[in-house]
Amino acid sequence: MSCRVLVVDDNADFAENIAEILDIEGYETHVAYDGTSALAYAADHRFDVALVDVRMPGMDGITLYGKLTELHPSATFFLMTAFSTEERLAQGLAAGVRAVLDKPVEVDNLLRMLPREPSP
Amino acid sequence: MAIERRIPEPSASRPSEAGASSSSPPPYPVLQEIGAYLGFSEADARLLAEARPKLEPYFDELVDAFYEAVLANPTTSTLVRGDADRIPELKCSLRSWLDGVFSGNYDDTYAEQRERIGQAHVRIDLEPRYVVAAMSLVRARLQRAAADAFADDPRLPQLDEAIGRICDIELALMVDTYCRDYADRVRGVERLALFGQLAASIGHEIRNPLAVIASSVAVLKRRIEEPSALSKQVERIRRQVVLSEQIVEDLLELARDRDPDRSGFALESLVDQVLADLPHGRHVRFEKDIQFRDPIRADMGQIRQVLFNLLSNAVQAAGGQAVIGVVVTQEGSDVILRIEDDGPGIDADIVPRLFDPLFTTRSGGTGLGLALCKKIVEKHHGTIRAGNRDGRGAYFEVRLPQAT
Repeated sequence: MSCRVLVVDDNADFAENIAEILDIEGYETHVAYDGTSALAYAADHRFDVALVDVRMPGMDGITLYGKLTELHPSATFFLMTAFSTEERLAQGLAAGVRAVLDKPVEVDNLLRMLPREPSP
Repeated sequence: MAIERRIPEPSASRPSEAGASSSSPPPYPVLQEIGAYLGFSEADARLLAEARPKLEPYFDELVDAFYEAVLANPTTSTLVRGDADRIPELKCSLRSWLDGVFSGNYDDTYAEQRERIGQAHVRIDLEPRYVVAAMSLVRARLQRAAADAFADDPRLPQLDEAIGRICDIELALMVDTYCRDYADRVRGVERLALFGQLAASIGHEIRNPLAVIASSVAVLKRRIEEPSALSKQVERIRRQVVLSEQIVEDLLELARDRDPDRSGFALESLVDQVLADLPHGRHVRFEKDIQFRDPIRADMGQIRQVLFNLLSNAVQAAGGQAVIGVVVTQEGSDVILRIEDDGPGIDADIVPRLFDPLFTTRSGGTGLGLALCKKIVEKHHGTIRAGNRDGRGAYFEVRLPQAT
Protein backbone atom coordinates (compact mmCIF):
# COMPACT_ATOMS: atom_id res chain seq x y z
CA MET A 1 0.00 0.00 0.00
CA SER A 2 1.24 3.49 -0.90
CA CYS A 3 1.57 6.38 1.46
CA ARG A 4 -1.68 8.39 1.29
CA VAL A 5 -1.53 12.17 0.99
CA LEU A 6 -4.43 14.60 1.39
CA VAL A 7 -3.80 17.93 -0.38
CA VAL A 8 -6.02 20.82 0.71
CA ASP A 9 -5.76 24.15 -1.13
CA ASP A 10 -8.36 26.52 -2.59
CA ASN A 11 -5.98 27.18 -5.50
CA ALA A 12 -7.04 24.25 -7.71
CA ASP A 13 -4.14 24.59 -10.17
CA PHE A 14 -1.56 24.41 -7.40
CA ALA A 15 -3.30 21.62 -5.51
CA GLU A 16 -3.65 19.47 -8.62
CA ASN A 17 -0.04 20.05 -9.64
CA ILE A 18 1.19 18.93 -6.22
CA ALA A 19 -1.07 15.88 -6.38
CA GLU A 20 0.22 15.01 -9.86
CA ILE A 21 3.84 15.26 -8.73
CA LEU A 22 3.11 13.03 -5.74
CA ASP A 23 1.28 10.53 -8.00
CA ILE A 24 4.34 10.32 -10.25
CA GLU A 25 6.49 9.78 -7.17
CA GLY A 26 4.34 6.83 -6.10
CA TYR A 27 1.99 8.37 -3.54
CA GLU A 28 -1.76 7.91 -3.40
CA THR A 29 -3.36 11.35 -3.36
CA HIS A 30 -6.68 13.07 -2.77
CA VAL A 31 -7.36 16.78 -3.35
CA ALA A 32 -9.83 18.93 -1.43
CA TYR A 33 -10.39 22.61 -2.21
CA ASP A 34 -11.71 23.77 1.16
CA GLY A 35 -11.89 22.78 4.81
CA THR A 36 -15.43 21.44 4.71
CA SER A 37 -14.81 18.94 1.91
CA ALA A 38 -11.47 17.96 3.51
CA LEU A 39 -13.26 17.12 6.78
CA ALA A 40 -15.96 15.21 4.90
CA TYR A 41 -13.25 13.11 3.20
CA ALA A 42 -11.33 12.61 6.45
CA ALA A 43 -14.46 11.32 8.22
CA ASP A 44 -14.51 8.23 5.97
CA HIS A 45 -10.92 7.83 4.76
CA ARG A 46 -7.52 7.35 6.31
CA PHE A 47 -4.50 9.30 5.21
CA ASP A 48 -0.90 9.38 6.31
CA VAL A 49 0.10 12.91 5.34
CA ALA A 50 -1.86 16.16 4.84
CA LEU A 51 -0.58 19.23 3.01
CA VAL A 52 -2.84 22.08 4.09
CA ASP A 53 -2.88 25.64 2.75
CA VAL A 54 -3.13 28.19 5.55
CA ARG A 55 -5.11 30.93 3.85
CA MET A 56 -8.40 29.60 2.52
CA PRO A 57 -11.86 31.16 2.39
CA GLY A 58 -14.14 29.89 5.13
CA MET A 59 -12.12 27.62 7.40
CA ASP A 60 -8.43 28.54 7.51
CA GLY A 61 -5.67 25.93 7.43
CA ILE A 62 -4.69 26.11 11.07
CA THR A 63 -8.29 25.56 12.21
CA LEU A 64 -8.65 22.70 9.71
CA TYR A 65 -5.41 21.16 10.96
CA GLY A 66 -6.80 21.18 14.50
CA LYS A 67 -9.93 19.31 13.42
CA LEU A 68 -8.11 16.84 11.13
CA THR A 69 -5.59 15.91 13.80
CA GLU A 70 -8.44 14.94 16.12
CA LEU A 71 -9.74 12.53 13.49
CA HIS A 72 -6.27 11.25 12.48
CA PRO A 73 -3.79 11.83 15.30
CA SER A 74 -1.08 9.65 13.76
CA ALA A 75 -0.98 11.51 10.44
CA THR A 76 1.83 13.93 9.58
CA PHE A 77 0.77 17.47 8.78
CA PHE A 78 2.42 20.24 6.76
CA LEU A 79 1.10 23.76 6.37
CA MET A 80 1.72 25.73 3.17
CA THR A 81 1.52 29.50 2.84
CA ALA A 82 2.40 32.41 0.55
CA PHE A 83 1.99 34.77 3.48
CA SER A 84 4.60 33.51 5.87
CA THR A 85 5.50 35.56 8.86
CA GLU A 86 7.58 34.52 11.83
CA GLU A 87 4.46 34.72 13.94
CA ARG A 88 2.54 32.38 11.67
CA LEU A 89 5.47 29.99 11.49
CA ALA A 90 5.68 29.87 15.26
CA GLN A 91 1.91 29.41 15.50
CA GLY A 92 1.97 26.45 13.14
CA LEU A 93 4.93 24.78 14.76
CA ALA A 94 3.51 25.32 18.23
CA ALA A 95 0.30 23.64 17.08
CA GLY A 96 2.33 20.55 16.17
CA VAL A 97 2.74 20.53 12.38
CA ARG A 98 5.91 18.94 10.97
CA ALA A 99 6.81 22.05 8.95
CA VAL A 100 5.40 25.28 7.51
CA LEU A 101 6.33 25.48 3.81
CA ASP A 102 6.65 28.79 2.00
CA LYS A 103 5.05 29.02 -1.41
CA PRO A 104 6.31 28.52 -4.08
CA VAL A 105 6.97 25.15 -2.45
CA GLU A 106 10.37 23.70 -3.24
CA VAL A 107 9.23 20.28 -4.49
CA ASP A 108 12.47 18.37 -3.94
CA ASN A 109 12.60 19.69 -0.39
CA LEU A 110 8.98 18.59 0.17
CA LEU A 111 9.67 15.10 -1.19
CA ARG A 112 12.63 14.75 1.18
CA MET A 113 10.38 15.49 4.15
CA LEU A 114 7.48 13.20 3.24
CA PRO A 115 7.41 9.67 4.70
CA ARG A 116 7.60 6.93 2.04
CA GLU A 117 5.57 4.37 3.96
CA PRO A 118 2.02 4.54 5.34
CA SER A 119 1.77 5.19 9.06
CA PRO A 120 1.01 2.11 11.16
CA MET B 1 29.03 92.30 2.42
CA ALA B 2 26.57 93.00 5.22
CA ILE B 3 22.88 92.16 5.04
CA GLU B 4 21.32 94.26 2.30
CA ARG B 5 20.92 98.01 2.73
CA ARG B 6 17.16 97.77 2.57
CA ILE B 7 17.19 96.54 6.20
CA PRO B 8 16.70 99.74 8.26
CA GLU B 9 18.79 101.01 11.20
CA PRO B 10 17.53 99.88 14.59
CA SER B 11 14.35 101.70 15.60
CA ALA B 12 11.68 101.41 18.26
CA SER B 13 9.06 100.27 15.84
CA ARG B 14 8.77 96.70 14.64
CA PRO B 15 8.63 95.05 12.20
CA SER B 16 10.62 96.95 9.62
CA GLU B 17 9.22 97.78 6.29
CA ALA B 18 11.88 95.77 4.52
CA GLY B 19 10.50 94.57 1.28
CA ALA B 20 12.42 93.18 -1.57
CA SER B 21 12.31 95.23 -4.69
CA SER B 22 14.29 92.66 -6.62
CA SER B 23 12.42 90.65 -9.21
CA SER B 24 13.40 87.21 -7.84
CA PRO B 25 13.24 86.02 -4.23
CA PRO B 26 16.58 85.83 -2.37
CA PRO B 27 18.01 82.32 -2.12
CA TYR B 28 17.99 82.47 1.69
CA PRO B 29 14.81 84.36 2.51
CA VAL B 30 14.95 83.54 6.22
CA LEU B 31 18.23 85.43 6.56
CA GLN B 32 16.77 88.56 4.97
CA GLU B 33 13.41 88.30 6.66
CA ILE B 34 14.59 87.65 10.20
CA GLY B 35 17.42 90.13 9.85
CA ALA B 36 14.94 92.78 8.78
CA TYR B 37 12.45 91.80 11.49
CA LEU B 38 15.10 92.13 14.19
CA GLY B 39 16.46 95.34 12.72
CA PHE B 40 19.93 93.88 12.19
CA SER B 41 21.82 96.64 10.39
CA GLU B 42 25.10 97.26 8.62
CA ALA B 43 26.21 99.10 11.73
CA ASP B 44 25.60 95.92 13.75
CA ALA B 45 27.60 93.90 11.23
CA ARG B 46 30.51 96.38 11.33
CA LEU B 47 30.49 96.44 15.14
CA LEU B 48 30.60 92.65 15.42
CA ALA B 49 33.59 92.54 13.06
CA GLU B 50 35.34 95.33 15.01
CA ALA B 51 34.69 93.54 18.32
CA ARG B 52 36.16 90.28 17.18
CA PRO B 53 39.83 90.84 18.09
CA LYS B 54 38.91 91.72 21.69
CA LEU B 55 36.42 88.84 22.03
CA GLU B 56 38.53 86.11 20.45
CA PRO B 57 40.51 85.45 23.67
CA TYR B 58 37.20 84.36 25.26
CA PHE B 59 36.29 81.87 22.51
CA ASP B 60 38.30 78.87 23.75
CA GLU B 61 36.74 79.04 27.19
CA LEU B 62 33.28 79.34 25.64
CA VAL B 63 33.90 76.31 23.41
CA ASP B 64 35.14 74.23 26.37
CA ALA B 65 32.12 75.24 28.46
CA PHE B 66 29.80 74.41 25.56
CA TYR B 67 31.07 70.86 25.26
CA GLU B 68 31.14 70.36 29.00
CA ALA B 69 27.40 71.09 28.91
CA VAL B 70 26.89 68.72 25.94
CA LEU B 71 28.71 65.88 27.66
CA ALA B 72 26.95 66.50 30.99
CA ASN B 73 23.50 66.13 29.38
CA PRO B 74 22.31 62.49 29.11
CA THR B 75 20.65 63.11 25.74
CA THR B 76 23.18 65.29 23.95
CA SER B 77 26.13 63.26 25.23
CA THR B 78 24.89 60.23 23.25
CA LEU B 79 25.16 62.25 20.05
CA VAL B 80 28.93 62.28 20.29
CA ARG B 81 28.65 58.54 20.97
CA GLY B 82 31.20 58.57 23.75
CA ASP B 83 33.97 58.84 21.17
CA ALA B 84 36.52 61.15 22.78
CA ASP B 85 38.45 61.46 19.49
CA ARG B 86 35.65 63.47 17.92
CA ILE B 87 35.53 66.20 20.57
CA PRO B 88 38.60 68.18 19.31
CA GLU B 89 37.12 68.13 15.79
CA LEU B 90 33.74 69.32 17.08
CA LYS B 91 35.37 72.07 19.12
CA CYS B 92 37.21 73.19 15.99
CA SER B 93 33.88 73.42 14.16
CA LEU B 94 32.33 75.47 16.94
CA ARG B 95 35.32 77.78 16.96
CA SER B 96 34.94 78.20 13.22
CA TRP B 97 31.25 78.99 13.72
CA LEU B 98 32.12 81.72 16.22
CA ASP B 99 34.54 83.21 13.70
CA GLY B 100 31.64 83.36 11.25
CA VAL B 101 29.34 85.07 13.79
CA PHE B 102 31.87 87.88 14.17
CA SER B 103 32.92 88.01 10.53
CA GLY B 104 30.74 91.03 9.70
CA ASN B 105 29.88 89.23 6.49
CA TYR B 106 26.35 87.80 6.35
CA ASP B 107 25.82 86.88 2.74
CA ASP B 108 24.41 83.81 1.00
CA THR B 109 27.57 81.81 1.69
CA TYR B 110 27.14 82.49 5.38
CA ALA B 111 23.46 81.46 5.21
CA GLU B 112 24.34 78.30 3.31
CA GLN B 113 26.86 77.30 5.99
CA ARG B 114 24.25 77.80 8.70
CA GLU B 115 21.75 75.78 6.70
CA ARG B 116 24.24 72.89 6.60
CA ILE B 117 24.47 73.02 10.39
CA GLY B 118 20.68 72.69 10.59
CA GLN B 119 20.82 69.71 8.23
CA ALA B 120 23.49 68.10 10.40
CA HIS B 121 21.20 68.48 13.40
CA VAL B 122 18.48 66.55 11.54
CA ARG B 123 20.96 63.81 10.61
CA ILE B 124 22.02 63.28 14.22
CA ASP B 125 18.43 63.61 15.56
CA LEU B 126 19.28 66.66 17.68
CA GLU B 127 15.92 68.08 18.69
CA PRO B 128 15.36 71.85 18.31
CA ARG B 129 14.91 72.37 22.06
CA TYR B 130 18.58 71.52 22.57
CA VAL B 131 19.59 73.89 19.76
CA VAL B 132 17.58 76.68 21.40
CA ALA B 133 19.05 75.94 24.84
CA ALA B 134 22.60 75.75 23.48
CA MET B 135 22.22 79.05 21.61
CA SER B 136 20.92 80.61 24.80
CA LEU B 137 24.08 79.52 26.62
CA VAL B 138 26.29 80.81 23.81
CA ARG B 139 24.47 84.16 23.68
CA ALA B 140 24.80 84.63 27.45
CA ARG B 141 28.51 83.82 27.40
CA LEU B 142 29.19 86.10 24.45
CA GLN B 143 27.34 88.97 26.10
CA ARG B 144 29.26 88.39 29.34
CA ALA B 145 32.53 88.36 27.38
CA ALA B 146 31.54 91.62 25.68
CA ALA B 147 30.64 93.19 29.04
CA ASP B 148 34.10 92.23 30.30
CA ALA B 149 36.12 93.23 27.22
CA PHE B 150 34.19 96.45 26.49
CA ALA B 151 33.49 97.53 30.06
CA ASP B 152 34.33 101.19 29.55
CA ASP B 153 33.47 101.32 25.89
CA PRO B 154 30.43 103.43 24.90
CA ARG B 155 29.71 100.89 22.14
CA LEU B 156 28.91 98.17 24.69
CA PRO B 157 25.10 98.60 24.70
CA GLN B 158 24.92 98.41 20.89
CA LEU B 159 27.40 95.50 20.84
CA ASP B 160 25.28 93.66 23.40
CA GLU B 161 22.20 94.12 21.19
CA ALA B 162 24.09 93.15 18.03
CA ILE B 163 25.26 89.92 19.69
CA GLY B 164 21.66 89.17 20.72
CA ARG B 165 20.36 89.83 17.20
CA ILE B 166 22.98 87.77 15.39
CA CYS B 167 22.44 84.85 17.77
CA ASP B 168 18.69 85.05 17.07
CA ILE B 169 19.36 85.12 13.31
CA GLU B 170 21.63 82.09 13.68
CA LEU B 171 18.97 80.27 15.65
CA ALA B 172 16.26 81.14 13.13
CA LEU B 173 18.37 79.82 10.25
CA MET B 174 19.18 76.54 12.01
CA VAL B 175 15.65 75.91 13.25
CA ASP B 176 14.11 76.81 9.90
CA THR B 177 16.42 74.36 8.15
CA TYR B 178 15.68 71.73 10.76
CA CYS B 179 11.92 72.12 10.27
CA ARG B 180 12.15 71.90 6.48
CA ASP B 181 14.52 68.94 6.52
CA TYR B 182 12.49 67.17 9.18
CA ALA B 183 9.30 67.66 7.15
CA ASP B 184 11.11 66.23 4.09
CA ARG B 185 12.29 63.30 6.14
CA VAL B 186 8.80 62.60 7.49
CA ARG B 187 7.40 62.75 3.96
CA GLY B 188 10.15 60.39 2.86
CA VAL B 189 9.39 58.01 5.72
CA GLU B 190 5.67 58.09 4.90
CA ARG B 191 6.41 57.39 1.24
CA LEU B 192 8.60 54.47 2.25
CA ALA B 193 5.95 53.15 4.60
CA LEU B 194 3.36 53.28 1.83
CA PHE B 195 5.82 51.67 -0.55
CA GLY B 196 6.45 49.04 2.08
CA GLN B 197 2.78 48.21 2.50
CA LEU B 198 2.27 48.07 -1.25
CA ALA B 199 5.40 45.98 -1.72
CA ALA B 200 4.35 43.51 0.96
CA SER B 201 0.87 43.19 -0.48
CA ILE B 202 2.10 42.68 -4.05
CA GLY B 203 4.85 40.35 -2.94
CA HIS B 204 2.53 38.04 -1.09
CA GLU B 205 -0.08 37.99 -3.86
CA ILE B 206 2.47 37.16 -6.54
CA ARG B 207 3.64 34.13 -4.61
CA ASN B 208 0.44 32.24 -5.39
CA PRO B 209 0.76 32.35 -9.19
CA LEU B 210 4.49 31.69 -8.81
CA ALA B 211 3.63 28.59 -6.78
CA VAL B 212 1.45 27.32 -9.65
CA ILE B 213 4.15 28.00 -12.27
CA ALA B 214 6.87 26.35 -10.16
CA SER B 215 4.74 23.27 -9.51
CA SER B 216 3.81 23.02 -13.22
CA VAL B 217 7.53 23.12 -14.04
CA ALA B 218 8.07 20.31 -11.54
CA VAL B 219 5.31 18.27 -13.26
CA LEU B 220 6.77 18.92 -16.74
CA LYS B 221 10.26 17.92 -15.66
CA ARG B 222 8.85 14.61 -14.52
CA ARG B 223 6.64 14.08 -17.58
CA ILE B 224 9.05 15.04 -20.34
CA GLU B 225 10.96 12.10 -21.67
CA GLU B 226 14.62 12.94 -22.15
CA PRO B 227 16.18 13.90 -24.44
CA SER B 228 13.65 16.54 -25.37
CA ALA B 229 13.73 19.87 -27.14
CA LEU B 230 11.27 21.07 -24.51
CA SER B 231 13.67 20.60 -21.60
CA LYS B 232 15.59 23.77 -22.32
CA GLN B 233 12.38 25.82 -22.23
CA VAL B 234 11.22 24.16 -19.03
CA GLU B 235 14.57 24.88 -17.38
CA ARG B 236 14.37 28.48 -18.60
CA ILE B 237 10.95 28.85 -16.94
CA ARG B 238 12.28 27.29 -13.74
CA ARG B 239 15.18 29.77 -13.57
CA GLN B 240 12.87 32.72 -14.07
CA VAL B 241 10.61 31.48 -11.29
CA VAL B 242 13.64 31.34 -8.99
CA LEU B 243 14.58 34.89 -10.01
CA SER B 244 11.00 36.10 -9.50
CA GLU B 245 10.90 34.53 -6.07
CA GLN B 246 14.17 36.29 -5.19
CA ILE B 247 12.63 39.60 -6.28
CA VAL B 248 9.61 38.94 -4.08
CA GLU B 249 11.83 37.99 -1.14
CA ASP B 250 13.93 41.15 -1.56
CA LEU B 251 10.78 43.26 -1.87
CA LEU B 252 9.30 41.75 1.27
CA GLU B 253 12.55 42.17 3.18
CA LEU B 254 12.69 45.81 2.07
CA ALA B 255 9.14 46.29 3.29
CA ARG B 256 9.70 44.62 6.64
CA ASP B 257 10.65 46.90 9.49
CA ARG B 258 12.55 44.38 11.51
CA ASP B 259 14.90 45.78 14.16
CA PRO B 260 18.36 44.23 14.10
CA ASP B 261 19.12 41.54 16.63
CA ARG B 262 22.55 42.67 17.77
CA SER B 263 24.10 39.53 19.16
CA GLY B 264 27.87 39.38 18.78
CA PHE B 265 29.37 37.36 15.98
CA ALA B 266 32.70 37.06 14.19
CA LEU B 267 32.60 38.95 10.89
CA GLU B 268 35.46 36.94 9.38
CA SER B 269 33.57 33.71 9.85
CA LEU B 270 30.49 35.23 8.20
CA VAL B 271 32.63 36.46 5.28
CA ASP B 272 33.95 32.91 4.82
CA GLN B 273 30.42 31.47 4.83
CA VAL B 274 29.17 33.97 2.26
CA LEU B 275 32.18 33.43 -0.01
CA ALA B 276 31.55 29.68 0.12
CA ASP B 277 27.86 30.11 -0.83
CA LEU B 278 28.37 32.77 -3.49
CA PRO B 279 28.00 31.50 -7.05
CA HIS B 280 30.98 32.64 -9.09
CA GLY B 281 33.07 31.49 -12.00
CA ARG B 282 36.67 30.34 -11.84
CA HIS B 283 37.68 33.68 -13.30
CA VAL B 284 36.95 35.41 -9.99
CA ARG B 285 39.40 35.32 -7.09
CA PHE B 286 38.67 36.69 -3.63
CA GLU B 287 41.28 38.27 -1.37
CA LYS B 288 40.51 38.81 2.30
CA ASP B 289 42.23 41.41 4.48
CA ILE B 290 40.74 41.06 7.95
CA GLN B 291 42.35 43.54 10.34
CA PHE B 292 39.60 43.42 12.99
CA ARG B 293 38.71 40.07 14.48
CA ASP B 294 36.67 40.87 17.60
CA PRO B 295 32.96 39.94 17.62
CA ILE B 296 30.81 42.71 16.19
CA ARG B 297 27.40 43.82 17.46
CA ALA B 298 25.00 43.48 14.55
CA ASP B 299 22.26 41.25 13.19
CA MET B 300 24.13 38.35 11.64
CA GLY B 301 21.35 37.40 9.22
CA GLN B 302 20.96 40.95 7.96
CA ILE B 303 24.69 41.60 7.61
CA ARG B 304 24.95 38.29 5.78
CA GLN B 305 22.39 39.66 3.31
CA VAL B 306 24.43 42.85 2.90
CA LEU B 307 27.64 40.91 2.32
CA PHE B 308 25.97 38.58 -0.15
CA ASN B 309 24.41 41.43 -2.15
CA LEU B 310 27.61 43.49 -2.30
CA LEU B 311 29.75 40.50 -3.27
CA SER B 312 27.19 39.38 -5.88
CA ASN B 313 27.33 42.85 -7.39
CA ALA B 314 31.11 42.73 -7.47
CA VAL B 315 31.05 39.31 -9.17
CA GLN B 316 28.53 40.60 -11.74
CA ALA B 317 30.72 43.62 -12.44
CA ALA B 318 33.80 41.47 -12.90
CA GLY B 319 34.79 41.04 -16.53
CA GLY B 320 37.54 38.60 -17.37
CA GLN B 321 40.02 37.60 -14.67
CA ALA B 322 38.92 39.48 -11.60
CA VAL B 323 40.09 40.01 -8.05
CA ILE B 324 37.57 41.02 -5.43
CA GLY B 325 38.86 42.30 -2.10
CA VAL B 326 37.06 42.00 1.25
CA VAL B 327 38.61 44.29 3.85
CA VAL B 328 37.55 44.56 7.51
CA THR B 329 39.07 47.33 9.62
CA GLN B 330 38.25 49.44 12.65
CA GLU B 331 38.17 53.22 12.88
CA GLY B 332 37.35 54.68 16.26
CA SER B 333 34.34 52.75 17.48
CA ASP B 334 33.19 51.85 13.96
CA VAL B 335 33.84 48.58 12.15
CA ILE B 336 34.38 49.11 8.45
CA LEU B 337 33.64 46.51 5.82
CA ARG B 338 34.91 47.33 2.35
CA ILE B 339 34.34 45.38 -0.88
CA GLU B 340 36.65 46.31 -3.74
CA ASP B 341 36.72 45.08 -7.30
CA ASP B 342 38.97 45.73 -10.27
CA GLY B 343 36.12 45.96 -12.78
CA PRO B 344 35.19 48.92 -14.97
CA GLY B 345 34.14 51.14 -12.06
CA ILE B 346 30.89 53.07 -11.62
CA ASP B 347 29.73 55.89 -13.88
CA ALA B 348 29.96 59.07 -11.77
CA ASP B 349 26.45 60.14 -12.88
CA ILE B 350 24.80 57.11 -11.35
CA VAL B 351 26.65 56.99 -8.03
CA PRO B 352 24.04 59.20 -6.27
CA ARG B 353 21.25 56.82 -7.38
CA LEU B 354 22.93 53.50 -6.66
CA PHE B 355 21.00 52.86 -3.46
CA ASP B 356 17.58 53.95 -4.76
CA PRO B 357 14.97 51.13 -4.82
CA LEU B 358 14.34 49.74 -8.32
CA PHE B 359 17.42 51.44 -9.79
CA THR B 360 19.59 49.05 -11.75
CA THR B 361 22.08 49.20 -14.57
CA ARG B 362 22.05 45.48 -15.26
CA SER B 363 19.57 43.72 -17.50
CA GLY B 364 18.04 41.11 -15.24
CA GLY B 365 18.89 43.17 -12.16
CA THR B 366 16.08 43.73 -9.66
CA GLY B 367 17.21 47.14 -8.43
CA LEU B 368 16.47 46.06 -4.87
CA GLY B 369 19.72 44.54 -3.63
CA LEU B 370 21.58 47.76 -2.86
CA ALA B 371 18.44 49.48 -1.53
CA LEU B 372 18.09 46.57 0.88
CA CYS B 373 21.76 46.89 1.90
CA LYS B 374 21.22 50.59 2.64
CA LYS B 375 18.12 49.91 4.67
CA ILE B 376 19.83 47.23 6.76
CA VAL B 377 22.94 49.34 7.36
CA GLU B 378 20.87 52.39 8.35
CA LYS B 379 18.86 50.21 10.74
CA HIS B 380 22.21 49.54 12.39
CA HIS B 381 22.78 53.34 12.54
CA GLY B 382 25.60 52.86 10.06
CA THR B 383 26.42 54.26 6.65
CA ILE B 384 27.09 52.77 3.23
CA ARG B 385 28.78 54.51 0.36
CA ALA B 386 30.22 53.62 -3.00
CA GLY B 387 32.67 55.11 -5.43
CA ASN B 388 35.57 54.45 -7.73
CA ARG B 389 38.98 53.38 -6.50
CA ASP B 390 42.15 55.19 -7.42
CA GLY B 391 43.30 53.32 -10.48
CA ARG B 392 40.74 50.74 -11.52
CA GLY B 393 37.52 49.38 -10.10
CA ALA B 394 34.88 50.32 -7.59
CA TYR B 395 34.40 50.04 -3.84
CA PHE B 396 31.47 49.73 -1.48
CA GLU B 397 32.12 50.67 2.12
CA VAL B 398 29.88 49.83 5.08
CA ARG B 399 30.47 51.49 8.43
CA LEU B 400 28.87 49.85 11.48
CA PRO B 401 29.04 51.75 14.77
CA GLN B 402 29.79 49.54 17.73
CA ALA B 403 29.39 52.03 20.59
CA THR B 404 25.95 51.96 22.28
